Amino acid sequence: MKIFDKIKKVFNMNEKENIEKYEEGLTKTRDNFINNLNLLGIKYTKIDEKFYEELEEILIMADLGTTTTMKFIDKLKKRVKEESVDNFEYLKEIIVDELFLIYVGNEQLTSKINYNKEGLTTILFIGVNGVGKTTSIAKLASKMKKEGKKIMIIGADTFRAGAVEQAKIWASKLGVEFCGNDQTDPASVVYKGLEEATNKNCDVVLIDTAGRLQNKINLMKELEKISKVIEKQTGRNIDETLLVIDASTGQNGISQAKNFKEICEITGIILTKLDGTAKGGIVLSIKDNVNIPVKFVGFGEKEEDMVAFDIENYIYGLFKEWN
Amino acid sequence: MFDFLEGKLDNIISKVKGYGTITEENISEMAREIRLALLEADVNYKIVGEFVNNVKEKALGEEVKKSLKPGEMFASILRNELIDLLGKDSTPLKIEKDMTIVLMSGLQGSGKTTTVGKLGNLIRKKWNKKPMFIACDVYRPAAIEQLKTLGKSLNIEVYEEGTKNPVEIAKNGINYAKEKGYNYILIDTAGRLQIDETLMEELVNINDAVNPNEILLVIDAMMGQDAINVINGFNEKLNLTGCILTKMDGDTKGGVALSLRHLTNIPIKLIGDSEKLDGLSEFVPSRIADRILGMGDIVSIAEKASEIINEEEALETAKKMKKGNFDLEDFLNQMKQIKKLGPLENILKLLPGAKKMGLNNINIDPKLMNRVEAIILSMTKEERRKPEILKASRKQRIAAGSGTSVEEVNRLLKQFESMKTMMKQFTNGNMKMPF
Repeated sequence: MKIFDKIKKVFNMNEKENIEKYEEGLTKTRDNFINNLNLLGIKYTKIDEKFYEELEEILIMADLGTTTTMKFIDKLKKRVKEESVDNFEYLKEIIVDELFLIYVGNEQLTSKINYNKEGLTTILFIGVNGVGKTTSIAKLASKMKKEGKKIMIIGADTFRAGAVEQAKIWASKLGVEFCGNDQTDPASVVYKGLEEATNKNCDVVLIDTAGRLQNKINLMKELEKISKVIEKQTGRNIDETLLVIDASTGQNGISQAKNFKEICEITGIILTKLDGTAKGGIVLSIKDNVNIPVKFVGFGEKEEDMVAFDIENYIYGLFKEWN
Repeated sequence: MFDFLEGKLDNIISKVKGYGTITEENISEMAREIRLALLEADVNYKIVGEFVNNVKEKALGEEVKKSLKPGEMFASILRNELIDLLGKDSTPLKIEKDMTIVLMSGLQGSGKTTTVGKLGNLIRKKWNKKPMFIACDVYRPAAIEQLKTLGKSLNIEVYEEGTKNPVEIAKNGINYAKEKGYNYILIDTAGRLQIDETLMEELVNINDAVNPNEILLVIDAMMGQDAINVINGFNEKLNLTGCILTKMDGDTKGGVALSLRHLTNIPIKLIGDSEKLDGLSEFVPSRIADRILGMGDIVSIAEKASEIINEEEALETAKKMKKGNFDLEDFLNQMKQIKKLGPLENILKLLPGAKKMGLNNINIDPKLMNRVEAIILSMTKEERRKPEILKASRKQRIAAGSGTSVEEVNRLLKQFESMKTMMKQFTNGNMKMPF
C-alpha cells in the first residue's frame, strides 16, 4: 500500500466529509515534499552504508533516539533489498512511508478533541517543568472559544510562584472564565473549579497543573489525586489528558511519557516550541515505544500559534535543512 | 541524576572485564554499545563518534594489550576520556569586590527565574553578598509577579518597572542598586529562541547597557541534540561566561553536560538539583564523570594498581594460579601488594556494583589481614611452598611464632586450599582475592 492510501485510511473514520478537501491539500503537500526531499540523493549515487549512516545521523540529530532510528533503518534496508530499489526517487517514498508507519502503525489516529456530548468536557494538562503547559492552555482555549465553546481555565499550579497569576492573565485576555488560587492544595482548586464550571454552564474546563519531574514520587501522587478528584466529581473519565512535551526534549521524553502514563490515561501529546531549531523527533520515539500520539503542535507565544499535528508536514520538517 | 547512563556503562564495563584480552573484535562490540549508551544519554552525535573512536584506538593500543587487566585498563580509558569531555576543572562563579552584575539568558522554560531566586539565595548565604533582582521579562504574563513572589519569600528586593523597555529597566535597576548599596545584581530576562533576531538583539542591548561580569545561559538538562544549536546561538551573540544546568534532579541522563564544554568551551558553573530555593550545587566535572561511569573509582584503583603491582611478577602469579600451583609464598606477595593500595574497604567501596553486592558498608578488620600475614611469615620458605608438609608440631611452632593459635593456622590453611580450587576456575587472568 502506498503512503497516500494509508493516510486516507487513517483519516477516513470520523472525517468523511473532510476527506476530499484533505486529499487535495495533502496531494499538494506530498508532491511538494517528495520533490523537495532531495535528501542525500545528490551526494550519493548508490544506496550504500555511507548513505544509511548519514540518514541515521539526520534522525538521531532530530532526537528520534537509537532504538527507533535503528528499527527504521533496518526496515528500510530490508525493503530496499527486497524490492531491489536503486533509484532515489522511489527511495524517498519508501523513507517517508516507513517513517509514517512507525508513527501510525495500523491505528486510526485523530487529532480532534474528544468532546463530551452530554455535558462538561474535562481536559487535564500535565508535564515536566517549563514545557509550556500554561501557554498551550491559552492557545487551546482561544481555538475552542472560536468554535463557540464556553471555556473555563482552572489554574491549579499552586507550586510555582506566579503560575496561577499567569493563567489568570491569559483567561482575562482571552475572555474566558477562570478559577484558581495558589493558597490551597491543587486538588481543592480543581474541585472548586469544576463546581463553578458546572454552575456557569461551561462546555470545557482546561486544567493547568504544576510542572513536575516524573521521578518525584510525591508530586506524581499529587497528580493522581487531582485526576481522581476530577473523575469522582464528574462521574466519568477525564475526556482528554494531554502531556505537554518541549520539542527540544531529548531521550528523557520516553521516561516522561512512560511515567506520566502510569499515573494518567494520556490521550495525546502537545508538542511545544517547534518554532525553534529542535525537531521534536522524540515524539516519533514516544509513539513507537509508549504509543501516545501527538494531537497539537505549538510554535510560538501567541494564542493562535497552535495547529493540529500533521505527520506528513512533520516528516517533511525533519529533512528540511538537509535538502 | 546520571543513573541510567551509569547502569549502561556499568554493564559494558563488566562485559569487557570478562574478556581476557582486548581484541579488535570484542572492542568493536564494546564501542557499539558505548555509542548507543551515550546517544541514549543525549550526548551530541558528533562527540559520540569522536569519543568512541578515541576510546577504541587507545584500548587497542600496546599498553592495554600487555595489560593483565584489560577490563580495568579499558575502564580507565573510558573515564579519562569522559573527564576530558567534561573539562578537567570546575570554574567558580565570578564574585567581584564591588558590584557583580549577572545577566541570565536562555530559552523559554529553562528555569531562569527560579534559578535567579536560587542564585540570590546562594550568593547571600555563601558569600555574604547583598543581592538584588531586576525583572526584565516583560513578555510572559506574570513573569514579574513570579520574580516578586520569589524575592518576597527570600527577602530580596526586586527592581521592576512593569512592562517597559527591558534595556531601560536594566540600566535603571543597576543605578538603583548602586544607590541602595546592593552588590550582587541578577538580571532576569525573558525566555527567547536563539533564532529570534529581535529578541536576541534586545538581549545584546541589555548586555551592552549594563556590561555584566557574568553572562550565564540557563539550560535544561533534559535537552536533546538541539542543545548545541541553542548554546552556539546564544554564545555567538553574547559571549557567554558560563552555563547553569537545570532540572538535574530529574532522571535525565544529562548528555548536555558532556556536550557543553567540549563543543563550546563554556564552563558549567552550577547545577540546579532540587525544587527548593537552596537547590543549586557546584558542578564538579570529575564527580560527574565518576557518577556517569557508575564504577565508583575502579579506574583509579586500576591506575594505582598498575603503578604498584609489578606487571611481570603479576604475570607469573597469574600463570601459577591457572595451573593451580599457587602457593603461600605467592599469596603473601599478593597480600603485600594489595596492602599497598590502602585500606581494603575503601577499595571495595569503589568497585563497580559495590552497592548491589552490599560491599559499600562492609567492614574489614585490618588486624585479620595482619594475622594472616603473621602466620605466613612464621613459616619457613619450604612450608610456604608446600603447605601440605605442615603437621601438628610445625603448626604449633607457627602459632607460637605469630602469636596466634593452631585453630587459626588451620583455618587459614583450609581457606587457602579452597581459594586455590577457586583460582583454577579463573582462567581469564582476572585475579580475585577471596577474603
